[in-house]
Amino acid sequence: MIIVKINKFKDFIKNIFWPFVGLGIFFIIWYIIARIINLELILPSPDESFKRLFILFGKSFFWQAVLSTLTRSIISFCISLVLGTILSILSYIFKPIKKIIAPIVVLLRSVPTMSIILISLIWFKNAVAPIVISTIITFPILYSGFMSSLDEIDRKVVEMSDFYHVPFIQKLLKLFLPYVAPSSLNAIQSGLSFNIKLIIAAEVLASTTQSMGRYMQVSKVYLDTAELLGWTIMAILISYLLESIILLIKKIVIRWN
Amino acid sequence: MYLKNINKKYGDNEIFNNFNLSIPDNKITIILGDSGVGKSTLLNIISDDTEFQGEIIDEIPRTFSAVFSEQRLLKNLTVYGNLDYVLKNKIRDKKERNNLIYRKLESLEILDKINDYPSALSTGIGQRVALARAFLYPSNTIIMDEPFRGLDIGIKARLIKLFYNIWMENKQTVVMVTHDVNEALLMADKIVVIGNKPATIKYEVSLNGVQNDRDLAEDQYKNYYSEILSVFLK
Repeated sequence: MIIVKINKFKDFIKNIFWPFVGLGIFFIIWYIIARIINLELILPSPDESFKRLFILFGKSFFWQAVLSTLTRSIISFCISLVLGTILSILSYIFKPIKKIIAPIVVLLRSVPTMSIILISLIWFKNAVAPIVISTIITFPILYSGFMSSLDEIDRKVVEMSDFYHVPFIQKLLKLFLPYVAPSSLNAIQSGLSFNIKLIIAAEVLASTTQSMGRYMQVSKVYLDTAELLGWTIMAILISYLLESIILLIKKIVIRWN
Repeated sequence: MYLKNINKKYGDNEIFNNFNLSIPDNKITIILGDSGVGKSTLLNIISDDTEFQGEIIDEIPRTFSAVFSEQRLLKNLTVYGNLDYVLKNKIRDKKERNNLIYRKLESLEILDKINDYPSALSTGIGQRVALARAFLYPSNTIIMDEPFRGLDIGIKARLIKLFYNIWMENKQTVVMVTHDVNEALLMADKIVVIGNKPATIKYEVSLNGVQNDRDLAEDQYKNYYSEILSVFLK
């Protein structure tokens, strides 16, 4: 009983206490620098930024913007996810498809992000462009991640399953999915947090109406740095929330080791 | 079971050319031979896991279990889950499956590991789970490809004894490949040494007596040992 309590305390220190110390240090430095500069236009203090965020919480346009940005992010992420899943499985089964996709993925990864953004802005409407842009950039991340997760499938265990005539559905649920889950979820996690950042960046450049990016751009134009930081904090919160969901799924799915 | 005029090639590499071998039913046949001589291929031919020319004459329909030199356990399933994974499709009744798994783990003396994941098992224990899997799966023939490779001598001796005791219950036909002559002398009803390319039988002997009573210090086993060794040295 006492040992359990001590372990729980240790876990608390390790997982909650130290991260909070890190955050605390960050905010203290931010606060001190803001005090030294003493000019809200350049760097508002953290409490001012949070205050502005809380004021934004009360506005309906704020939630509309958050919702529409989040929707864009989810749409583009789902497209990348479906594409990445289907193409990685096809590449795994049919080697020629892997060879065909490989140079395309290399190409997509090496094109400067800004080029993709600018070209898409010329070609697409400003509400759609962010979705296209982040799909193009998120897809290769997911595809490569899924490809390496498929390599995690232990071929000898597959052979064993075939020897014992284990039905396909059983193999899928107990062997293939669990073996690819850990590194697939890692890929999803990094794809997701990258995705939301890209959407916002594209929204800024596309001036997409009713979007977080647009309002951030407006704050910048009016030199309202505190509000800009308020929006930024919200973007961080969304990113953190999405990542937490993935972490939770990981915890539920992966119980071995 | 009789293998008649077996031919098998990997590209230009001719493994078997008109190879013949008889495998007695309900006995343990052990195949010895140098690496790369085709021992594993022979197991694949017997279990119909690879293409070949020739025929296998058999009086009974065969169903196979296998023990590999690696454990080949699913890392995401517990010991119980791993056994249930291969049995589910064969034994539909969950209660019956449960019972069988418990009993087999008990006779292999690893019932306490039933809820452990493979990463928590030592190699010896993992191999016992693989043995449990082979015995639990409804089959009349067990194929074993160096099942005790890399185990310490004590663990190996203990495992062989456990294997033999469980095998005695049903006496499935066993075909096993190994590098270890002592292992063969301890376990086999019949020992076959194959060699050359394409492979031929270089030595064949049937051993009498119950395996558990064997004392390798006895003269007859010493003689077999030196005979087999001299076949290898030729």
